[in-house]
Order: sequence, then structure tokens, then C-alpha cells
Amino acid sequence: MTHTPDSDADLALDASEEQRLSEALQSAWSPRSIDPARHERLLNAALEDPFAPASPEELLESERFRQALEGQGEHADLALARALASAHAPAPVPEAAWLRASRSPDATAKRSNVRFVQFGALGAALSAAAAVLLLLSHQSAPLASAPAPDLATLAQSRSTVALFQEAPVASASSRIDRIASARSRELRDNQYALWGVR
Amino acid sequence: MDESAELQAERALVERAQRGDRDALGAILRQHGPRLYRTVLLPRLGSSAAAEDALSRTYVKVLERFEQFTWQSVGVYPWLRVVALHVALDFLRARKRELLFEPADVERELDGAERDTREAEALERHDLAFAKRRVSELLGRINPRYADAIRLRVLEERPREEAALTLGVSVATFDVVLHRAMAALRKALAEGGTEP
Repeated sequence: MTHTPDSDADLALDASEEQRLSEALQSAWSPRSIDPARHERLLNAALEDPFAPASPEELLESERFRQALEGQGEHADLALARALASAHAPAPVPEAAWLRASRSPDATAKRSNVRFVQFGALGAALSAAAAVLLLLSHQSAPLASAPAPDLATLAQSRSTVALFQEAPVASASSRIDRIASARSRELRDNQYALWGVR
Repeated sequence: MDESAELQAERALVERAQRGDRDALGAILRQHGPRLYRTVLLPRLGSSAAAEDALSRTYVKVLERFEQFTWQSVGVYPWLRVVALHVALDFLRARKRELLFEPADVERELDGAERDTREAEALERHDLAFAKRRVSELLGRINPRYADAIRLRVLEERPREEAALTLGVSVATFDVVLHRAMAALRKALAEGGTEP
């Protein structure tokens, strides 16, 4: 007997789905026994009485934990409670912290990537020097055919804040790259404007 | 009818447990829990993780309701099994993906289980055979070669080389056949329908 599958779509079964189905078949055909140690843990957990009378130590610790949760004092379980809460429903970044982060390069990058900052400063200095040279050369030898540039059309020196309004996930090197790219583009535009070829 | 010594001991444990003795209830569950897992929960839920979760919930329900249990001549296991079947039914109803069993299968079992007077060993045999019948029925809905591939590699866990040899194909071909077999089985499950 030959059998032709209905279509390729019918055969789409990823590895995890196949594994799940295999386990279901094996579980029905020849179910394995539960691991005794695992069963003992399950049983002990079920038999524990959450409403059993509290010992004096439990009363003391529960009061300390309550206070720690309310921001008064510390407790060994507080970090775990915060970790659980963060994993269950992570709190949004406070607005003030978000604004600080979006207005300046992140502090971590400042501390750990001093070289990137140095390269950035060097790049900015080179850009400024190139602009001065361009202006001087234009003043000393203006192109005869070039009309007088309209200064309003030239790119103006401006803050780079606008480049970083999105989430602060970019690395320091990518920010420097973006500054250099923006400055280069503006320099080229200015050159073209001054030469009258734009 | 005289009760066996084993049942008498169990009855004593039940009486202690119903008076609030958790050690006695622990002894009862320690004896019957692994059987509930292997023959009731794991075959119906299809994964050890789900079966363990269901066993925990079964224990919680047993703890909550044990006072309601009335001693029967066949012991406490049939009652525990009914509790476990209810938990399995809840799990199956909550599932989104296809499994070997459907809620309707377990509902039918529960109808009979509450009046079942068989002892634990007889119920264990019944449950194991019931699950195997379900697998056989499902394999009967797909191409026989596919069923053979699943039987050899998944159910009997034979090495793929041996399975390929049995089917008279290369190992590479066998892998493809098995993959297609699983897809065909999933499709059969999705189409539903349970033979009575």
C-alpha cells in the first residue's frame, strides 16, 4: 500500500511538538513510576498544614517580615519577595530615572568606556577643524561661479539630544558612530551648499 | 465477609486520618499515591510534569475532603481514584493542545468510577489496559506503516537502526517516516472522535 501525505502543511511538526506527543504515547502505553524521592517531596508539601498554630519564633519572624515588606527594617526573605514580585510583574522604570537616562549617555558607559568618549571628543574636534579649514579656504579662494550661499540653509550647530530620544539601549560606540555620521553628513551638506552644487 | 489483614490495617489508618492524624493520612497516600500517578494521572495527562502537578492537587483535595469518605469493603483506593480522575478532568479541560485523552473520555470513566467496587489491583489493571486501548485505537486511525514506526521507536523504544531494519528501510528514511507518523497522529487527534 502506498501512502501520500495530504500536503506539506500536514507534516509540519516541530521537534518540541513531536517530543510532547512521544511522551504522551509512552505515558499511556507504558507509564513509568514516579521517582520515590520526588513523591516524598510532593507528599510532604501537601501534608504541611499552612494553618497550624504558630510557634513564638514564627510569630516574631512573621512580624519582622511584615515590617520589612512595608519598608521598615530588613529581613532575609525580603530580597526573595522582591525578586518574585519583579519576575511576576516588573514595575515600569520611574519617569524621573527614565528622563535622566534618555538625556545623557548612561553612567555605566561613562565609567567603563572612557576610550569611546575620548574618540568622540577627538572626532568632534576634527569635525570642527575641518569646518574652519573649509570656511577659510572658501574665503581665500571662492568659486567664481558659485552664488553666495544662503546661510539659513546650512546645517546649524545643535545638540545631539534629539539623536537619543528612544530607549537607551544603544552602546557607547554606536552613539559615537551616530554622532560622527550626523556630523559628517552635515559637513558634506554645508560643503555642497558653499560650493553651490546642492 | 471478613476483611483481609491489609484492609483492616488500612481501615485503622483511615479512622486515624479522619480524626485529624496527618501521619496516618500520609501513610495512606504514600501507599496509593504512586499508583494514582502511574495508572490514572500520567497516562491521561501525557507528561510527567503535568502528572506530578495533578498528583499534588489530588493530595490537596484528599486533605480537604477526607472526612467525607465512608469506609468501603474494597478500601480507600477507589475513592482516591475518583478524586484523581476529577483532577485529571480539570487538567484536560484547561488544556489547549491535543492530548491522547479528551475531557469526554474521563467524564465517561467517572460515571462508572463512583460506583466501582473493584479493589486497587483490579482498578490498576483496568486503568493500564484502558490507556493502552486508547493508544491502539489512535494508531489504528493512521497509516499502518506510520503506526509501526511509532510502535517500534516510541512505544517499544527500539534503536532507530533496529526500527529501520524491521520496516525494511534506511535509517534516514525511517527518521522521515517517524516524523510523518507523528504529524499524522497529531492530525488524527485534532480531528477528534473517540471510539466507544
